[in-house]
Amino acid sequence: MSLQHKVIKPKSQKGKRFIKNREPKIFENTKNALALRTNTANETVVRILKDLCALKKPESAFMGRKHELRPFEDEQALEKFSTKYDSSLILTGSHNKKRPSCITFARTYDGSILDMFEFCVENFKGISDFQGLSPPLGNKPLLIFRGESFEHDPIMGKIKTMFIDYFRGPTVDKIRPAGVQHCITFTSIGSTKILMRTFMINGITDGTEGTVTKAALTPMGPSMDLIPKRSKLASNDVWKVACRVPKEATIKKKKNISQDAFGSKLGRIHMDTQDFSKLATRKMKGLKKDRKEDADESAEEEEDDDSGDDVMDTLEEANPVGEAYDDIGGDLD
Amino acid sequence: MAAAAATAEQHGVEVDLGNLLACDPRPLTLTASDDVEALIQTEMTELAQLLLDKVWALPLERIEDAVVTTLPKPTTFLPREKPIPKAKPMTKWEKYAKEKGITKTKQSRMVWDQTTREWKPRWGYKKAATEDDDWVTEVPKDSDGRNDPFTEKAKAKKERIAKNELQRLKNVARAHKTKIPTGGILPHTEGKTSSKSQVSQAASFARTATASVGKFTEALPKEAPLTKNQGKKRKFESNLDNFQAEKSRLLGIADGITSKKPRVDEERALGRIKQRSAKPKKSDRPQREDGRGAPGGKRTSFGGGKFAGKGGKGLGKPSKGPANQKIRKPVKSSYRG
Repeated sequence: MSLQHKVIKPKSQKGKRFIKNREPKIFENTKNALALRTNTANETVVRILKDLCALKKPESAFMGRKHELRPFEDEQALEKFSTKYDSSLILTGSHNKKRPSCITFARTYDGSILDMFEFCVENFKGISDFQGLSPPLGNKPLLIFRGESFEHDPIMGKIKTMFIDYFRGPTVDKIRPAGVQHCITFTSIGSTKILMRTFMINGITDGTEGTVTKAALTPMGPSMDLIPKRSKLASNDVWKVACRVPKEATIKKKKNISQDAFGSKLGRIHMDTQDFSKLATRKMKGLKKDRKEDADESAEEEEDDDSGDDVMDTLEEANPVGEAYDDIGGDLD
Repeated sequence: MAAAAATAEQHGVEVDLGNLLACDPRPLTLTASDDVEALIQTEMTELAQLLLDKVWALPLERIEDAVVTTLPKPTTFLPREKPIPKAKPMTKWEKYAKEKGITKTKQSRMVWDQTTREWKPRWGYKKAATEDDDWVTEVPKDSDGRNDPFTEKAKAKKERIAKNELQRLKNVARAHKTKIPTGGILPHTEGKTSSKSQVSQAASFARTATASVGKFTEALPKEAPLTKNQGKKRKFESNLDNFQAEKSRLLGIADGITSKKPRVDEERALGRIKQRSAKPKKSDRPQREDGRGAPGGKRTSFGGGKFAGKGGKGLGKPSKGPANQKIRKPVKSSYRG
């Protein structure tokens, strides 16, 4: 919550909830994406933006007004959009002679631009070019990256994380394996070209268990060749801060708790060594000390030693409870 | 199929099931005769099969009519959207309560209503009667009859609310390590006398709260002269003497224009450093891929106090880099998608 929202309190419960929802969280929501056309975008660029938006629906929105945006020259405008619409992923599209059909993927951390990558698009085929196939809404796709430059080239490595961030779909704990319907793939050709292809998965099930035995892929839209142009990488320390995992999010392994084959909980308990001097023994009248006896005892002690009671002697050495035993010995005598 | 998976693993295909992600480091070898699309499709089918097999291999469970599986935690580190939330700073009361070991106890929802002799909710619909609901009230004996007890009660409540709000703002200010501007007059609470400093501050504000900013206000006997909360007065240099100072000042301006050294506004630079250290560091700005700076605008005006600190002097090409943009005030315009 910004200082402004703390000083001026939200007037309604709804407004309060709205502001609270935008505050930093330990477990974050799925990142929202915002696609912005610029004043130079042509029809193809708009189609590209809309199709990329469609892949991320419902966590994406397309803004169709002609904003004068130059991400690499003025970051502030993008940051403003990002905070206003609470979307940390931003897509912009422009078209000019120097960089035809140009799209920029940007992401923000804490309201300011973290990194940006610019691509020129070639061989674009939209969703509508493949009849009858459209990306399923809110579905988690398979993501496949192919090519060595994604591993070795630092910029391509960051491009990969950007694409994972953008395309991975909602973060869920449970999925229906039979419901996995589409697959977004990226193939790098050197560091100069990335082939983005999208496929529909037609699984041939074997009927009995419902498991896919053979997956068949059918090409669908959008498919395009991305040529990396300008990029803006996050500095190492900012990246490190942004990738930090909160303590609360890491689940600590609970020690000494296990389950047996029947599912019942077993625990291992560690005990301290027992202090026998504090042991609550049975109280008997005969064992009670009185002052008179105490005085006698000290006098008798020397005599006892002389009498040579071997058993009592050893006991006395062996444990600190010796005194009690000594008493018994005295009584028995 | 199993063989394909085995070979894929040999080649170091990394799988992150939490994100349904597979990364194959093998390059795609293309020859001129190959149909690229067909090749990609066959290669990707193999990898998709590998992923799907792994997903189906996870323990399945049935929830209603659907067979579902729990995905493991993602292993790929992705940047967060917002910083890790910080612990809420304690209010003054919370701090005090902690020191004294005062713990909050939950108030009961129902209270005993003496007049109707039954349990009623503390607030809301059909709540128990409180003092605020009284339609008749006694006039105190010492009252001169001029003051209406109802308006006095309402006023007292207003003051209590104002006091609470002030305390809330003070807590916010304390959390942000700033001070709230005071109007000099604090809300008056019953049974609590203002401190001497509060009274004198209020008096000084009252003295200057006239159309002539206190110029004609007569001072009370033994009243200390006003020192605080005075506005700044403009000062002009005399027109006649002190030519030396004027000369050196003008020479200084001329020096500034002709020297090739970049001028640094230290105060501003310090402020900028502070601002940055408060935010996640952005000191080392990222390198551009093509190694060029951002294009700069054509310079039209030179030097002058008005433009000080906007562009470096003698830097060759004045750049409109991101450092300058950061400090620029956002343009007032409404963005609508």
